[in-house]
Amino acid sequence: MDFKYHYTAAQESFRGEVASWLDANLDPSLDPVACRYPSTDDWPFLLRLRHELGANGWLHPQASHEQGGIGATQGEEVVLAEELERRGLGWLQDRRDASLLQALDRWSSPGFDGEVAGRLGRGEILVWHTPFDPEVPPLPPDIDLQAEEDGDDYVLNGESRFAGMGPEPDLLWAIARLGVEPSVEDPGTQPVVCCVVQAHTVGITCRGDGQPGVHGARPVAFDNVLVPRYCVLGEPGAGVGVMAAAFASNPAPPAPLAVDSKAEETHRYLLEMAMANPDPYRQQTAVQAVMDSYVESRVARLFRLRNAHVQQQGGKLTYHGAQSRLWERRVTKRLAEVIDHVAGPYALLDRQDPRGLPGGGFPSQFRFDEAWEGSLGHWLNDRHIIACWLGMGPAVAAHHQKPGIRAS
Amino acid sequence: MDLALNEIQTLLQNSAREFMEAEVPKSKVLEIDDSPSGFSEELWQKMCELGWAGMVIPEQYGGSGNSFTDLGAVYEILGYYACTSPHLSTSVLAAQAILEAGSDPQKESLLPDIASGRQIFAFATTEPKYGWSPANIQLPATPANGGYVLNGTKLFVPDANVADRILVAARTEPGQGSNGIGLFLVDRNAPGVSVRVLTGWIGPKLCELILDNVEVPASGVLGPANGAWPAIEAATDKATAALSIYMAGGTQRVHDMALEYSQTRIAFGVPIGTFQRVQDLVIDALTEADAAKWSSYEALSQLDEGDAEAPVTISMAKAIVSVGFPKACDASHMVHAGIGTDLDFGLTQYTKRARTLQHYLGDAVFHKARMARLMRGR
Repeated sequence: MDFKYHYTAAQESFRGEVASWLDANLDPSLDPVACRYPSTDDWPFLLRLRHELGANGWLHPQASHEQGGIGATQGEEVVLAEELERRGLGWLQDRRDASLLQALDRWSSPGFDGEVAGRLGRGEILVWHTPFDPEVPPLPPDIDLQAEEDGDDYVLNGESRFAGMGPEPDLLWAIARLGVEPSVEDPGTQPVVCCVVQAHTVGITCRGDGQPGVHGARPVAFDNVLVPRYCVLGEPGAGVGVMAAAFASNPAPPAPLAVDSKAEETHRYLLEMAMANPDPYRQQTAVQAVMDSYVESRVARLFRLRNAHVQQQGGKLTYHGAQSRLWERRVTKRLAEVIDHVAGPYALLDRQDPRGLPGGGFPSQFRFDEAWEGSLGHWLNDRHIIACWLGMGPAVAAHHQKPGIRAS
Repeated sequence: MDLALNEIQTLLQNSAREFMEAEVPKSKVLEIDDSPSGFSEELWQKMCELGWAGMVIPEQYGGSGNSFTDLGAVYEILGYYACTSPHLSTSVLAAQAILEAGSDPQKESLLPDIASGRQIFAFATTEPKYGWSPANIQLPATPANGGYVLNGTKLFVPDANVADRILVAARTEPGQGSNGIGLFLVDRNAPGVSVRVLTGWIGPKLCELILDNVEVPASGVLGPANGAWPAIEAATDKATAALSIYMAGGTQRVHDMALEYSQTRIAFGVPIGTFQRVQDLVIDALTEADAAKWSSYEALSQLDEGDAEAPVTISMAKAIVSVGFPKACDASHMVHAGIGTDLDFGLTQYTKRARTLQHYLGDAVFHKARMARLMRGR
C-alpha cells in the first residue's frame, strides 16, 4: 500500500508554471484563509484575477481551446487545483460552469448565442445555477419555479435559490416545472424545462447578499419572465434529465490528494494557541478539541485518496462521493467549532483589526461553515444517496415526502 | 498512491477468511468468551500451524519476516470474526520488544519459541494508576544479587493467565519520565508471581498480575535497565497499529450486521432500513468503519516504510478506532434493538471487545494528547 500521492514530472512541470504565474500575479501578503470567503471590497480584484485565470485556460483546464480550456490532463488539473486551493482561490474554478459547458455543447439550439460557451469557459460570464445533485435529482414538486408555454416560448414565475459566485450573475441556469399544479398521484411524471436565462431580463430580481463567495445559495425571483424557445436546453419537459446528464458527465473536481497543508498549518496554529492558554484545564480540553479536528481533516484526505484510488483502478464510486461530502462538511463545521473554542472572541475579529487571528481569516471560516449548508446539495441528499447504494429502502427519500425539509 | 492489498496480502487475507469461516464460527467465539481462561489452545495451535505466530518476526529467528501491512491484512479478518487469541501480546508486543531491546542471545533464545507458538508471552505495562505514559509505570525494580527484584501489581494485563512468560515494565529509578524504566522477563510460574483473571463485562480476558519479591536474573533484563522505554514505545506503536486494524475489522462487522438486519427485519410492512433514522445509524457505522480501516492501513503502511510520521499516524488510527468501534456498536445495537442484546446473537461479543479494546494501548484521549506532543516536537 502507498498512501502518498506521487506526482509525475509533467505534473511537477505544470505546477511550476502555475506557481510561477500565481506568485508573479498575486500579492504575497494575500491571506489564503481570507481569500476563501472574500469581502465585497475584494471582489473587483478577484473578478479580474478570474478573468486572467480564464485567459490562461485554467478555469476549465480539461476543456478544449474553443471552450476556454487548454486540453489539460486530469493529473494537471489536480496540481492546478492544489495550487489554487493553497492560496485560498480554488473556489474561483466553479465546476458547475463546466457542467453548463457540457450542456451547451450537447443541447443548445441554433438560435442560442454561440459566443456564450467560449466566454463562459474563459470566465467572462458569471453563472448562477439551480442547486442540483445528479445522484438525487429533485422531484418536480420540489422545484420552485413554474413555467408556462407562451406560443413557442415560455414564461417563468416563482422564486428559487441559485448558487454561484459574484454579487450578481450574468446568466441563470434554471429548471422549472411545466404546468400549474404538480401531479399528486405521480409527481415524477410532471415535465420540467431546463433553460439558460439572461439575468438582466425584465422581471428577474436577484436577491443576493452582495457577497462574492461561491458557497451560498441566494434567492432569485421570476415575475413573468419571457424565455425564448432557443434558451431551452434539450427537449422541453426533459429538463431534469438534461441537467442530471450535464452534471453527471462532469464528475466532482479533483480534490487535493497531497497532504492538506492548509489544514496542517491551521491546526498547528490552533495547537500552539491552545498550549499557550495559562489555565491547564482549559489547555487540555482545547488540545483535545484541536486534535479531534485535525484527525477529522486527515480522514477527509484518506477518503479523497480512497475515492481517487477506486477511480484509478477503473472501479465505480458508489456511496463514496456522498460519504466524502458529508465528511468534508463535518470537517468544516468541526474546525469552526474548534476555532471558537480555542481562540474565543478573538476569532470573531476580521483583518481590519490587528488582533484578528490569523490575519483576520477566522470569521471567514465561520461564514464558510454556514455557507456549506446553503451550497450545492444538502446533507440529507448525501445520506439518502448512501442509503440507496447500501440497498436500504426505496429511491424516494424521506425529505422528498416531507415538504418542510427540502434539499437546498 | 496505491491503496490495494498486494498479491501476498490478498492471499493472506483470503486464507485468514477461510480459516475463520471454518474454525471460528459465532459459537466458538461465545465458547471462548465463556471459558474461564478466555483461550482456546486448539485454536491457537491451528493459528500457529498457519505460521501466523511468526509473521512479523525475522526469518533468522524462525519467523516469516512479513510486513506489518501483511499482518494487518490478517488482523482485519481476525477482528471481523472477533477471534480471540494471545497473538497481539506474544507475537507482536513481546516479540517486537525483544527485537527492539533484547541482546542477540536473548533474541536467539526467545524469538523462535514465540514464532513457533511453543511459548506464549504476555506484556505487562499498566498498573492500578492506569495509563500508558511512562509516568504510569511505577512498579519498582530493585537491584539484588546482580539482577533485580520486582514488587507490586500490574493491572489489566491481557493473556497473563495463559502466558508462559511475562515481560514486565518496571521502574529502576524513581521518577515520572521515560528514563529509569526497565523491561524484565518473568516466568509466570516463578515464585512470587500470581495471576488473577479480572471479572466484569470484558471481551478478551484481562488479568491482575501480582509480583511479590520476584527475582529476575541479569539475563532476564532486556536492554538497558534504566533505558527500555524507547523499546517499549516502539513495540507498543507496532502493536497499536495492529490492534487498530483488528478493531477496524470489528467495526466493519457490526456495520454489516446492522445493514443486513435493516434489510431483513420487517416493521409496518417494510424493511426497517427504509426508515431514515435507521438509515442514519447504518450510515454512521459505515463511516466509522471506513475511517477506521483507512487510517489503520495508513499507519501500517508508514510503519513498513519507516516513515518518521508513523507514530503520529498510529496514534491517529487508534484515536479513531477507540471512538469509532464503540460508536458503531452503539449504532448497531440501536438498529437491532432487543435481539442485539441476546448473547447468542453475537453482537454483544463485538460490543464487549469495543469497550475493552478502546482502552488497551491507550484510549482516544491519550493518543490525541500524544499526537499533539509529537506534532509540537517536529
